[in-house]
Amino acid sequence: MTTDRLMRVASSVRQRGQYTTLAVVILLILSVSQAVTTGSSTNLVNLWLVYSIAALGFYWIFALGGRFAFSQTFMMALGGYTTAFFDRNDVGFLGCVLGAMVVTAVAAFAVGAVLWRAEHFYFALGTLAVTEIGVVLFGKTSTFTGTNGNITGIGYPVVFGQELRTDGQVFWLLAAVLTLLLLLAVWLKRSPLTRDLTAVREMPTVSKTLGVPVDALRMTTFVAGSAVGGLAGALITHWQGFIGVDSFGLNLGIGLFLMVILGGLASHWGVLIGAAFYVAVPELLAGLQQYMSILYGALLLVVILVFPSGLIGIVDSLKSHRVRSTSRSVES
Amino acid sequence: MTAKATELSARNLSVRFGGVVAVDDVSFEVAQNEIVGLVGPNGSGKTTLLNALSGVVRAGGRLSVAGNEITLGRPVQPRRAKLIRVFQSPQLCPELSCLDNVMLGADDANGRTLFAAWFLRSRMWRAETSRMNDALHHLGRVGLAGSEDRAARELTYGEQRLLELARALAAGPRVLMLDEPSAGLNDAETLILRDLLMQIRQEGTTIIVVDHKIDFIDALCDRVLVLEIGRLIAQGSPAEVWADSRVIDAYLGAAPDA
Repeated sequence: MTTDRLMRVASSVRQRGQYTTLAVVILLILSVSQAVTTGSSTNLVNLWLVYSIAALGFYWIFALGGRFAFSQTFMMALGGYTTAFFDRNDVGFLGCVLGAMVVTAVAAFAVGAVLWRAEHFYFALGTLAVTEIGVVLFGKTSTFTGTNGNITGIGYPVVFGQELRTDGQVFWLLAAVLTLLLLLAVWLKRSPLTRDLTAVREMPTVSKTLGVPVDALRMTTFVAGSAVGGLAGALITHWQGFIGVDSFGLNLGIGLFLMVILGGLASHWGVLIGAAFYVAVPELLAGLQQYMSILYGALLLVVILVFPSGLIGIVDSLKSHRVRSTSRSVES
Repeated sequence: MTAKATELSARNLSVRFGGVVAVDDVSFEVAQNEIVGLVGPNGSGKTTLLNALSGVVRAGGRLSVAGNEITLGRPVQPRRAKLIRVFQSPQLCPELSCLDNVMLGADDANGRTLFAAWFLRSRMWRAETSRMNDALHHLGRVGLAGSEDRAARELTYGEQRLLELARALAAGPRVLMLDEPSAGLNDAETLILRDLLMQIRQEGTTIIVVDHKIDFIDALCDRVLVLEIGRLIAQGSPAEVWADSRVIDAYLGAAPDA
């Protein structure tokens, strides 16, 4: 068998289309930025990008690592408060954000170590408890988190000496960060880790007998995903110049879960679609304010029932339909 | 003839599930390059004994491989000692390709970290290419050449058993433990499997095999251990064991007037 054929067989290397998809996504993001002109629309696009970042981190923990972590919003809040703390101590923007990621990663490692043996619902409940404790602490410890968990006047993002004050300027920063993270997601997808993580999710005990480092991989995805959550929290904080503990409650935690489920567990590209859905639908239904909850819930049900593999499943269905049509026309 | 060194030594192994003693104070040794059959009626504790040896259940007693003590109840340790297991029912990732399933068991762990995936990609590719070629070789050995890109779920039951064997071989086993490897195979395939296991032994691997096909065990094994209700009741050459009255009683039941 030729090496080329082998390359197509192993999951680590057969995902060559990922780079094309990444290019298409970048073009799509740029097109969206050109299409929106009003301030509120740009704000929504930025929200889409930053939620995509947070949801991508959650995707690594949940879809790849196989663990449901309610703590993602806690990590976002921790990232936000850490960056605000460094900002008050005159650390530059880049230092603030990197510091936020490191602190979040260390916190995630500690939480992961405490919940080392917790499986399934117990891990989810453990992380929920961490989030609840965190929210209370953030609301009470004024030296780190400000009075009642609110801090204002946080510095705008500064990149290459340029202060990014408007939503339009912040868009480029968020788009660049998301692109970098998507590239990392592609590299993760095109690596032996995808195969090992599949085994960890599907047969954890057998995986240990195969030499797959089950605990280490779970910890890695949890720490990396949480650090990305911390990054998202830090970016939101600098973008809005404000952080409040109420912004990172359980609602957002469930929201991140919906983004990943709606987008589709099979692919990291799904988080972009899920986050877009999560941000756009309430806006589109704003005219039906009194029925919004019902309509939103019904839409969710339809998506989950009709497309159990998520909205990314529509793209896959269209692809397979095209392949079938092409083969039929070739045969005829 | 010189006595061969002991490759695996199990002393006073016991496994309890609540009040049930599934393996009861079992001790035995396996010499280097030996093929040992493990037989017994259904429920006699054969699979549980393999579970204890591979660390997937808690067990009491002591275990050593090539003179090195292994902590029981931890799957990582037997794996490091190259004590490799093939399960009774195929334990595969059904959606992954055959090649991927074999690569899962690869001995070489280089480039299998997040750090390598992000920052050491050329090293990761080199290791991955080596693993692919190795996996392809083992797929060919078990007769699955040409199936590398098929999903594991598309294979027949017998093929899945062989795929699991290929995965075990990719781990470079020192001691290979097989739980009913001939189940799901027809007579011709069973003969091929027997020849393959003989060849693996000639390459220096010690083998412990659980099976219900007596002809297969007779033709393959140097020695047979017999379990009944978790206890080791006999051991010896196949001929000695089948002539043992305790073994006959275990399989056929003791005559009321015996």
